[in-house]
Amino acid sequence: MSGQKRQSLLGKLISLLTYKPVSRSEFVLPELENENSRRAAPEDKSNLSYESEDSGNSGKEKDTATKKPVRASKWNRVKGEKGHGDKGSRPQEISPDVDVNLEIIKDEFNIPTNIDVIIREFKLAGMVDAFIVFIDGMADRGVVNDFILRQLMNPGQFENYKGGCVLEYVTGNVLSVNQAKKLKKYEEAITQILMGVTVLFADRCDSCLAIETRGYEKRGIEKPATEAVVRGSQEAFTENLKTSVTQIRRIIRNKDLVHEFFLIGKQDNSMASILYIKGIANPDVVKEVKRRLASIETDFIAGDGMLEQFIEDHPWMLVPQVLTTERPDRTAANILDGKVAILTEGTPFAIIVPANFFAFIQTPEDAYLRWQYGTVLRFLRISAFFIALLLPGIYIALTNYHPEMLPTDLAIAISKSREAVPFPSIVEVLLMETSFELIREAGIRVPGLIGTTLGIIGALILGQAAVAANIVSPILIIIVAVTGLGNFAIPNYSLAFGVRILRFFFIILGGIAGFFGISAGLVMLVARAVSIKSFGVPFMAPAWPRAGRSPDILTRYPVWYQEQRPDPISPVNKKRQPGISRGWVKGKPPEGKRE
Amino acid sequence: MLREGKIGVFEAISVITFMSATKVLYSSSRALVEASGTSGWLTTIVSGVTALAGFYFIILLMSRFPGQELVSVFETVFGRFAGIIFSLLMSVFFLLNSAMFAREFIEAVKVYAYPLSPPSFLLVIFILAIITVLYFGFECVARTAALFAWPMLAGLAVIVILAVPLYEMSNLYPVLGHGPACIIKTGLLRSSVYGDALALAVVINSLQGSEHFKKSGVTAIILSTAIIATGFLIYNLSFPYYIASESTIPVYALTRSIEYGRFFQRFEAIFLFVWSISGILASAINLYFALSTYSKVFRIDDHRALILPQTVIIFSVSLIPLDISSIAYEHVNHIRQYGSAIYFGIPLLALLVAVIRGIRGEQAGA
Repeated sequence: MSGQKRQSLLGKLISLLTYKPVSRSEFVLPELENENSRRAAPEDKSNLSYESEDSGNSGKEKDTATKKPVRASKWNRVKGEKGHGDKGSRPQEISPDVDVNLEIIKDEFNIPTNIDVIIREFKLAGMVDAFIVFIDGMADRGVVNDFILRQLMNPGQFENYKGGCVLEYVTGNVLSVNQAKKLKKYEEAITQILMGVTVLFADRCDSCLAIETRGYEKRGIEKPATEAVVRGSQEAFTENLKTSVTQIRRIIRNKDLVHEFFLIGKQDNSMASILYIKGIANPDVVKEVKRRLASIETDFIAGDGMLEQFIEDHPWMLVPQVLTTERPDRTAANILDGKVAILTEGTPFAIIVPANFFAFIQTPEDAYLRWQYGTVLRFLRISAFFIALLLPGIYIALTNYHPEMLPTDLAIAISKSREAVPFPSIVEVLLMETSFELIREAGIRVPGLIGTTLGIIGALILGQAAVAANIVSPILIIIVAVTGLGNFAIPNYSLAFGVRILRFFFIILGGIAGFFGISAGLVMLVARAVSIKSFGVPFMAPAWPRAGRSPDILTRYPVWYQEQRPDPISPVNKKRQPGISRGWVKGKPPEGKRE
Repeated sequence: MLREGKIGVFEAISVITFMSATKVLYSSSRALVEASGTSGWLTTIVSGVTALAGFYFIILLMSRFPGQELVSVFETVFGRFAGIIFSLLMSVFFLLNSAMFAREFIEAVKVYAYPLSPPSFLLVIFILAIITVLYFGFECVARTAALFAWPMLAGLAVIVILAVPLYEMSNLYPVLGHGPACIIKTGLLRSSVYGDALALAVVINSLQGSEHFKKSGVTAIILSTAIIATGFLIYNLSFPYYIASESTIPVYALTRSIEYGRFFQRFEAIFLFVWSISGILASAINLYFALSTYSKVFRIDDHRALILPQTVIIFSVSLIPLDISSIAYEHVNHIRQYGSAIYFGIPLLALLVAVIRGIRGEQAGA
């Protein structure tokens, strides 16, 4: 904030010690009326308001027309006036004079400097002055040539034209494209052009026509790269927002699946969509999502990673508070649970809110596999989480403070292996952990096959050489390797990253105070984890605090047993299926087919 | 007004159980073994039953004043000045409990695991953890306690199961230890071990109704009695009386004796985690109730302003006792023996005054 004075170092130090009153601006998800009843979907969904109540943060979808100021010189030039180029005098409504429109559009798009914005002037039916604007590469040239220009320039198409604004006639009688929408404001027209739509301006019309021609190159649907499964859907999102939304719509064929659209970046006009099911999602959560999205004021949002940082509740926490997934099936399942999905143009990931800790150790595979296998996998992953977090710290604590707790044989084996190592064990661990992180980072940054090779060679050669050079003990290589495996087994990348950083915290605590230090660290970590929220929902719910009986936290019960939607997010319709969802267990096999 | 949020029954039970049952892991249990011989487990059951009776009076008192927490009840019954005195007495008692937990833990951990570390260094780590828990408020305290409840119970269960080969029925004899009179007398005197359930009355508005208050308090007392009685039972089963009365930290001594072949031996590693986490939480919870009572007495809106000063007091007070012997035989022993006067005596007095003077809460007559 430019208006605020930057605090001096002394000021910052003093502020750390000074008492500050509580700031209570956190969003709290209120319980719904009739919270205790496990009722079904309300018949009348019309009284469920999903509109944001905060008009002060109405955002782009409401005030797009007033957000982008027109340069003073431009408007002065168009109007032939001088010295009145303030905010209030900028044009908003489209002029009926096509020349004014042409001049404004050229000026807005910096033509002729800007070479990929195409303006094609022509006479509609040989009579009315008109022009179309589109961006080369964003619009499909075939559609523009064959279905717009060819027909607009054909006088035969205009035989029944009786005069007046030609756009009405064009929409109804001339164009054979699937979408054409009249726009009244320049800002809307410009936004549409930037998205690949072709806009038609005609003389004597105070509006323009946005004709759907989007047709840019995009990547096809591919297999998920980070959330692969053995059973289940094998498709991932793409960078294209429309394709991603369609992928969800293909799974949830429900008329109440609502798709709303936001423009976020001021300069790049980034697109973000939110999807939820009216009648299931809690209206307060939806409103809060909209409020946060609409309030963002930045020039550039490059996809879900940046958006996540703008909307999360606790940016200083090491653990993520929104769930990201590249799988349409997982997104759809969460939407059906009553959560809200946020999709952005440019990255093949969906953000799902609210999220809790347990969602980060679950994978879509858990649901596709039989419940016993899914449950075992989850317990394996939670063990991996603790191994990744604590194992090196525990090793340090054991070797430095509590060697008497090791069985004699193991203690002798460890001390023998450490005999020739000159460093204290904490230096050894920090050295190896840092090397491991370096190998991992280098493996990601170097291209393709070399990366994989580097990872293997780095790990093997470096480990072997370090042991041979008596820099580290062989047992430590095992500790670091198992810790690394544990970290890789955490299914969520952000959580795994948080654990990587927290691990160093526990190594230091183990180094300075052994098991007691680790215990104190665990208490601090848990205290923080249970006190944070994701969009009003406690992060450790539904376990801490307890929120209803959930058959899908760590232990995953059979799908037919999961009768309620997750309680902590307070969905409007809590009931997922009846008490007996397998109707056949009530009936009897036909006569003669029974034992 | 202090905003403490809402907690559920399980969280309330966890909070009180951590306050009460953690005592079995420290030095005061040795005093009980000395006082009642092999019947420590019976004595503690007597204490539990006495505490349940005491808690019944607290329930009666609170049900006369629906919607009011204990500090407000004291002010209504005794008047503002006397009410403040009684509330502050409670606050100081919680503070003292917290400080003694801290020192007891530090002394024990120093003796067994960190002989070279200065107590003040260990205390700083201990207090840092307490500050973190308290900073995020009562909901955080309760949820942290609830989260650690199962792992702590599982840790204790592992110790109980693994110690089975050490059990010797003859060690329990004579079952009545120093005699029934001693069991009853010691049991009544030490009923303050389970008096922590009173703390629920301080935060009764955070519980969802008086039913939750009753349920949480009674269950917590029964659960704590079961845990402490089991602790004494297995300790008495494992060691003969003459050895049992010599160990500074009985349960720790028990874990060190566990051995399954050459490899699986010395399970104090598990115990150290149980010990540290329970100690930190018990001290943090006691300190929270001290802060909460104090804030309510002086109408302080935000308990966070008091955390740093109170932890400095904890640090100083906990370093006052000279050594572990003076903690076990003087400070903690006095707290256990005379604590009932605070935990049950003051509420009972308030109830009597309320009944005699016919005072009821504003909502009670509605």
